[in-house]
Amino acid sequence: MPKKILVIDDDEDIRNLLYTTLSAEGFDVITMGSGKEALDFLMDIDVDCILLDVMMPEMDGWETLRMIRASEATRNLPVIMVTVKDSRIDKLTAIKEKATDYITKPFSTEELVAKVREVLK
Amino acid sequence: MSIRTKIAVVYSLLFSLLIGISGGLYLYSYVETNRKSIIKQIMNYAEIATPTIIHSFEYYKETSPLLLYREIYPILENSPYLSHVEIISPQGVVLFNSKDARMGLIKPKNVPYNILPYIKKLYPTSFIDENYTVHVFIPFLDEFGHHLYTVHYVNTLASSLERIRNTLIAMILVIIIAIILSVIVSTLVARGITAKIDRLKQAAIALEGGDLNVNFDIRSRDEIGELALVFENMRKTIKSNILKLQRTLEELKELDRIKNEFIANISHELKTPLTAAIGYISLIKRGKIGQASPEVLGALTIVEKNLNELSLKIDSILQITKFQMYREHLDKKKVNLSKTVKKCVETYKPAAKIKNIELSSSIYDENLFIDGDEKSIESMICNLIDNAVKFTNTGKVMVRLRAGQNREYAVIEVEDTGIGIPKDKLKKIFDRFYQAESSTIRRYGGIGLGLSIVKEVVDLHGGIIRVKSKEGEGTLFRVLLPLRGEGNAKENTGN
Repeated sequence: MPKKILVIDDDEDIRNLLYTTLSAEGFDVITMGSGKEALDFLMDIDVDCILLDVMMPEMDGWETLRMIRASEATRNLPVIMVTVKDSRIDKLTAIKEKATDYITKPFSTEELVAKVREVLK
Repeated sequence: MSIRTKIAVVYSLLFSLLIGISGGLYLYSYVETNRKSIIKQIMNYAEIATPTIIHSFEYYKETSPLLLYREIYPILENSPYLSHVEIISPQGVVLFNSKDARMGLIKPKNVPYNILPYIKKLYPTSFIDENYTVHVFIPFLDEFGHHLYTVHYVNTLASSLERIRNTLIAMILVIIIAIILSVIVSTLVARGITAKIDRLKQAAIALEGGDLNVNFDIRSRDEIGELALVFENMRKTIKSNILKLQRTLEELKELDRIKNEFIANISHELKTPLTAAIGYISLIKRGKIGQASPEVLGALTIVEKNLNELSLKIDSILQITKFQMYREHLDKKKVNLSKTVKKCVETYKPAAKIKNIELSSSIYDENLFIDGDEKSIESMICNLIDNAVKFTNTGKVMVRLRAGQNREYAVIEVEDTGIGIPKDKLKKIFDRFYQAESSTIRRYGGIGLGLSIVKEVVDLHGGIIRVKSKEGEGTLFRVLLPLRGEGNAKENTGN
């Protein structure tokens, strides 16, 4: 049974890219345009891994992550943060907010797939 | 000499001079009037006493000098000034002398030559001799007008001189008291003036120290008051100018912050579409979307290469903006320079090997520590080595680390045998977005942010960067960084 991956990104092109890339690798990919939408979805459906964009309007990635970690059902779910900031401050935030891993834009598709496989182990 | 002392000296000199002159004048006039009044008193007394004295003399001259003296004695005693009296004949023979008569003697003798003219006068005369003795001569004439005798009254002024001397002493005392008083008064006056100057000085010192609200309010209707007013106006002008400057500075800082934030945001915004573009190219190349012809794949490789370059440039812009934004929050820790230099050299060894140039490092001192941001320092050294390798086609790149004079700073040198920098361009290389020639950008890549980041890092660590270069021969970059004070000393004693 293919692993379910939830992609949360406000940018449609990025959503499509991730969908195409991960589907090609045999994953079951679901995409969501906002953190709120994704949180509603997670109430009913279980997933194996989440790819979460940091910079999003309204509710940003960190806030979404906090909500995910606050819920009993998704507390230990692997979450990979997708960020453009490559600074130590963001790395520290990632550790503090209990993200599983993070990947910085622009990333290569190989790198992304490798990271997803790593967290799913 | 302070103003206070000067004023005190001038005041006391003036006071004593004034009192001295007035005292002297007073003394002179006092002595003069005294002398005249004494003479006049003696004259008056003598005129009255003369007939009595002569009468007694005529009566007793044949009997007893002592009896005669007893008659005349009260006359002498009643006058405070008279010491003795003589009865002299118009021919100048002393017929009676009260001094001799007291001893019971009458010894006729001739009068001294100098008083003879006075004896012959038919009216009362007087003179004062060199011993301040007053001589008064009263002629006695009978009812027929014959000049029978002249009575010579002698008076020593000693007693009155005593009084004058006392007055003189009193006068000197008064002068001394006056001098003391004048010193006190002048000191008080001077203090009044210097106290204002002192206040002015204190206020000026406070202003110099940066207190723009200092009080120059010294109300004084003199030059000091005017000076204080000038100072006050100066203070107001300085204050308003500084406030204006501060406002402008705040505005500029705000603008700079907005600009940096804007650039940072723009860079982030740029990265999302880049990610999509690069990602899709990768998918196409790996055949995940559909089969593409070799020509299309070749074109896509070029597109991908350019997108990656664009991404690197965005990174550079982000990095320099980040330095400017966080320069005040720089995370300074103890940094081991030898370790950092070695790490950077190792990073660029493969790149040098590909270009077939030698990259070597000489660490002359393993114990060089600075207070700094390790990532920034590393990025600075890496940037210098990156440049050296990039612009050297043959020869070598040498990296040196040593301690400067007195172990006050560390010296990092990166020397290459590369293309060098034209002399007229040397000054501009640390400017942002500058590269010697636009053609070099095309040939060597990069958008000239490297050296401006290097400069920024060196500045943030209180260091200095110098460059020496000769076109076609090579370039030498020398960075001086202040060493960690206490920690370094410990390292030294540890060795």
